[in-house]
Amino acid sequence: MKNYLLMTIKWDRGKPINADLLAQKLNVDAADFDEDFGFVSVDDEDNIYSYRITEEGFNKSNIADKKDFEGPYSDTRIEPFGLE
Amino acid sequence: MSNKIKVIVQLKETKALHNFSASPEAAAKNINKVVAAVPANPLFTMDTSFGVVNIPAIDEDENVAKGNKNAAAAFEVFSDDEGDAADSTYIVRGEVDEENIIQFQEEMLAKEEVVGVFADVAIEPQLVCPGTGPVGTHLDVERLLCVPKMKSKGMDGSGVTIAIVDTGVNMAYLNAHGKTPNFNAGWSWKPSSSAVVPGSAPVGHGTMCAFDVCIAAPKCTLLDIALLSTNATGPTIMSGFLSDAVKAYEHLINYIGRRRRPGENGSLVVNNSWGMFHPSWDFPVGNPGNFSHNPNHPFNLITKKLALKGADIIFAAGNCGPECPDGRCQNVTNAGIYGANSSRYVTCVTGVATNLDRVGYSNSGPGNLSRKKPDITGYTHFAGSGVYSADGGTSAACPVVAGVVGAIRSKRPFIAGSAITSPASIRNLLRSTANDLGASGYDYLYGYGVINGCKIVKKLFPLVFIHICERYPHICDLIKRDKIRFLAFCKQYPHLCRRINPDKFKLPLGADAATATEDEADDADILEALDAFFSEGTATAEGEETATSTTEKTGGCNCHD
Repeated sequence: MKNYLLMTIKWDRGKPINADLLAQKLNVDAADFDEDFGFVSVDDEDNIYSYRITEEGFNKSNIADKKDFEGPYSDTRIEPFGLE
Repeated sequence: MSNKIKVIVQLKETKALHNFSASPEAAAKNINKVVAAVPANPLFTMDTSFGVVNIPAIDEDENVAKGNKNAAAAFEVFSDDEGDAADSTYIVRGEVDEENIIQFQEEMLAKEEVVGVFADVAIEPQLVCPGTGPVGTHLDVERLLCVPKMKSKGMDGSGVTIAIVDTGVNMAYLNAHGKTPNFNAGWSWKPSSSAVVPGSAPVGHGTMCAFDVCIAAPKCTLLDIALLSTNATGPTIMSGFLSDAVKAYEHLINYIGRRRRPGENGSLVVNNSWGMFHPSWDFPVGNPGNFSHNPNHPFNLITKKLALKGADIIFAAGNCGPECPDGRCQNVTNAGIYGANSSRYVTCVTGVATNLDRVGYSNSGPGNLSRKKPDITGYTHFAGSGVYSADGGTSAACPVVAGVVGAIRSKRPFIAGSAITSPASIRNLLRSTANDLGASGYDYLYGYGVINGCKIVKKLFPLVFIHICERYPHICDLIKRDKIRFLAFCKQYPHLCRRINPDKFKLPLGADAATATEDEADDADILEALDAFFSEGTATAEGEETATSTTEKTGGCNCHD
């Protein structure tokens, strides 16, 4: 099972965001993104999208040089607040 | 610096002690004399604000022997200043350095006038902890929430969607246990890695939450958002990851933005009885990827987005309270409320039992994102769904509150652009009507206090005073002329007169004095019936006019001269 990192990107380039466009931008393969997760709009005001990328993809990308890319974010475990 | 130990010193009676105990005012004015009345000891710092308190003597043998004597006499110390008070004692309190406590005890007990030296132990309200049995039942919660009154006003969750973001809901179990909400299978959701069928999930935590939502909102429509059923990835059978929650919230944003039928209630309440248990699960505070303290984390961002779209998002505060924390907290009990659970865009819920005892596992504030968290207290730790011995944790308090919000939304649906229907406005309604608990005003243990359905109903359906004589001037004229008939009317139809406040409605009336209370919706009928009665007709028990002969005057008023 692939290990993904949780990321965000500020995307206001007119065209809807998709894996191919982003892969091109980051010098990675489209398959490095979590297709299942996709690109989730998390902030309408600032056009911020969340996505997941493999650790391998992250390491080979040039994300660190890009100002509109943030992450990785903590993808913490969550559990119910019932009594043990 | 040495710790101070609080002590109580018990003393034999003296006239001075008696007088100061009988008159606290005198004691307050003569502090030096009070201190002088207590055997001196340099190790002791007396709490003069406590004064002197009498411990009356009780002679049990004497009481038995005297049989019929008024029991109160057994507590009577003096009949006059010269009376016999040999067995009566008095206490004062103060502090002693911890290192001197033994020496102090020995010195004081050596004095003839000292009866004893005792620890003044701290006392606290009783706590409910995970091992405690259930306190009350869901029927008690129903009563405490004022559910019958809410129902009578149509506040029952009708038309309102409540999303149970949890481990999955089992509708058949709910139905078998007396809860029959609607279920929207089409918009229910699960992570792609989950094998759960929404609505038919294994009976567990999510079903408990759904049951508890239905206490106040039995006619709501449930969405099963089986977020915590991703057992393929989590270390326990009931866990998930925040990225799953991001996807779940994306789904809810799509739901709230769906095309709706004209007039359809657009309200969505989102119950979240889950969260993070320990900081080690997260990136460190200060790391730009941190969740607990970082409003820019994608889940915190999408939570804000969903709230701004109009969803009422309710989050449990967590179970890491200092008195009896969940083991998963690993004894970190002072880290506040983590992440989205403490967002200013959500309502954060802590818990008390039905007897108002605090549940000691409830997280206390402040919140990490917004300090003034929790917002409100809900009931928990009661026998309810039957899924567990008690519907417990802040997990149960949260859906109890979510159900009340669902009930409110039946009558105050969310309308985009309307400030009084915004989630923030509903949160303020909950806060402003809560029964204050703990320290006066807002505090980090109980927020604004325990949720109060009765006050919510009153605020949504206020009794308003109307001026009968302005609205129905002819009635006042008639009553003035025919007080007996008015009283006869009320005797015959007490339910129609029950809202008329006799203090305000003074008889005989001056034309300007008559005032009555009116429920916004109901009382027009009452007054119409009164009108009809005085118009030579009669009124039915339902307040309907049956036979009248009225003369309509200009201005639309059926007045009789």
